[in-house]
Amino acid sequence: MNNKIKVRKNNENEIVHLTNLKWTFLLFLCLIIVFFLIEDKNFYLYVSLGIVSFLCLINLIHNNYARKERTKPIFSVLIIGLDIISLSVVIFLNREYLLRFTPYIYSLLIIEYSLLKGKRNCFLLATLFSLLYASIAYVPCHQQWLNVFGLDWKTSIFSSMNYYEITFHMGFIYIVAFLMWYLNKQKDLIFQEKDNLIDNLYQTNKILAKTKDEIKAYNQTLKIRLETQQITRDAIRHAYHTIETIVENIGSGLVIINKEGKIVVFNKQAEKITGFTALEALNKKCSDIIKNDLCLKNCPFGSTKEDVFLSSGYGIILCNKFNEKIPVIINHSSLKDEEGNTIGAVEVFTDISKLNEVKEMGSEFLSLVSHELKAPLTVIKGYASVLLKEKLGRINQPQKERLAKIEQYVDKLSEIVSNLLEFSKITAENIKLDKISLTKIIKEVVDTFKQELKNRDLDLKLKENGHSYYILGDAPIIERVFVNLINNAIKYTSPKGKISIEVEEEKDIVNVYITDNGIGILPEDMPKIFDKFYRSSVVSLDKEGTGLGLSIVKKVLDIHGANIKVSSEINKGTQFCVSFNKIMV
Amino acid sequence: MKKILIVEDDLDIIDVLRIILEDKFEVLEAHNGIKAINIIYEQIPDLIVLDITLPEMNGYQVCRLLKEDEIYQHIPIIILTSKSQKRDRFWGIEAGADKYITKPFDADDIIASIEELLIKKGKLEE
Repeated sequence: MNNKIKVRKNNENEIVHLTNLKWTFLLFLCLIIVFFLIEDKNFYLYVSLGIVSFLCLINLIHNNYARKERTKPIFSVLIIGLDIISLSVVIFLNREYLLRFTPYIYSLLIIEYSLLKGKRNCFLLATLFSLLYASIAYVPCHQQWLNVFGLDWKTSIFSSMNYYEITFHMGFIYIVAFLMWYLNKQKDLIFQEKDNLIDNLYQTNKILAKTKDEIKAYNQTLKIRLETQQITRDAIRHAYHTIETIVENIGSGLVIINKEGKIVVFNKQAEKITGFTALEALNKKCSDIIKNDLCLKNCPFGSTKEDVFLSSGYGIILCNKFNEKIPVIINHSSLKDEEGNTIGAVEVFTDISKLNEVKEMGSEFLSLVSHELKAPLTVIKGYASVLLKEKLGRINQPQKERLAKIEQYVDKLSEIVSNLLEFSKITAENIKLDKISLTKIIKEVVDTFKQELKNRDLDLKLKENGHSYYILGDAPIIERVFVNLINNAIKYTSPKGKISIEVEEEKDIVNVYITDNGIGILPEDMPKIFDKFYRSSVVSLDKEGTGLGLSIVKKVLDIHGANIKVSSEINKGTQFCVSFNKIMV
Repeated sequence: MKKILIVEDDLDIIDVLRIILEDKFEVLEAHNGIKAINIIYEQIPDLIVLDITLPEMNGYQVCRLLKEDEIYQHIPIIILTSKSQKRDRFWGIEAGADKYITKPFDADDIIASIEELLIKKGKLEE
């Protein structure tokens, strides 16, 4: 629409210029006619002057309206038509004066028309004007035509014009028409191009506007994203700060190592325990800073950094910067990325010196308590024994029985105290791991029970396959395990009963089966047999035993990383299976 | 009658031991390590029943002192103590004791142990 308005404006501007040109030309024509009138006061010249003046006035008025943009192209076309007819008549009436101007007049009319209407009908007009010109030029040759109209024509001018000149003039009109056609075509092309450019510009504007909107929307999104990023960054910063605070302030040493085994994080407590500053420790090999016997024996991270290593914590002796030995509990864990590749490891270690001191104090306390309990027990048992032996005078049977009970319960109490003390002393820190012969220990324990087995009329068979099996353990404590298990088997098997001990290997495990055909264990007692002081309901209270034997067995095996399983049937017997990791000699 | 020296700071335990042993042996007593040494030097008992936790000088020291002395190293020593841990037993044997009995003890065990050691000592003297 805007384009059409612009085109219309252009047309109106052109009309202004045209009418300007026309009335100027027509005024000039008037002057020429006046000039001819001076020479020849011809009636037709007067008429022509009047017509041309009228045309001049019309065009002037049209020009005025065109300036004020109050005209329409249709008026221009009508005026052109009027011009063509009027000027043709003028030329016809004054051929002798104006015929030579005719081609130029018609050419101007063609120019005028084509400027307004474009290249259309240029040649048609050229043909029309050529015919008119030819008519005007040739008509006087036929006097009878002139007589029809009652006209008298002077032929002097025409005799000076020949056919070639007339034809040339006609050609001239065509040439002008062609030129206007060509110019208009070019103008059309230019306008078309201009229109295309305008369309393109319009489209581009639209696209730009759209793009602008998109950019605006994108900017908005970007702004939101930046704000979110800022929030995330703040959150990350905050989280990092929190983690940093935690890492720096936890009560244990925390060390993170990268894939190359070099330290990348070393907190304050680690500095305190190891004696190295973070500056000294960072980027150093782990084993140079956290020096301990484990590094020598078996580095947790191994030579292949891809190993999955998880430790639930164990005690080691760490050698600090000043070569002081610090007992610590250490935990390891490997660090993995999202794809599951090992990227490092973390070690957390806690100084247990104080704990050890407390434990030592506790241990000493326990020893003291044990000693203090045993002293009166000794006296009680001693006197009971002395009285029973009638060393202080005779006693009757009921007195003997009661004194025997006193002796019996003192023994039991003493055993409880001993077992409690033993139980408390069995800890990971107190055991000494060595390569020991399991086969030898079992044989020695069985030997110690020979007399008792004989006294109780029990048969014990030790089945061995001739192999010697070695494990990593504390010999006296492992011995205690088998003492307690065999003791139980003896205690809970009736005379004439059978006990067997069998040792066999299964890949890297050595299993020891202790089987009896005694009273068995109730199913409801099975989950509790390793609890401290637990005694089955089938066992009478006066039966020897403190309820600590199996607790001690379980504790020892747990510390050694061994397993124990039990299966039993009431009145049929019980089987304990103890499994150790065997070591190659 | 053979002389048995009981070195114990608990008077009641001394009383119990005296009652158990006085039928068969002459019982001497000392309540601390220093007194025990003095009696040993004066009377040279045939056997010593020695507690560990003693005032002035503990049982290990007494035992070590006697065993390092050529004159008295032949006297059998039974350590009688409430310390029942393996390491206590180890230190006792390491100090030179001939036997280690834990409290509370069995009267018959004490008598049997004493007689066994006296027989062994007699054979050695022969």
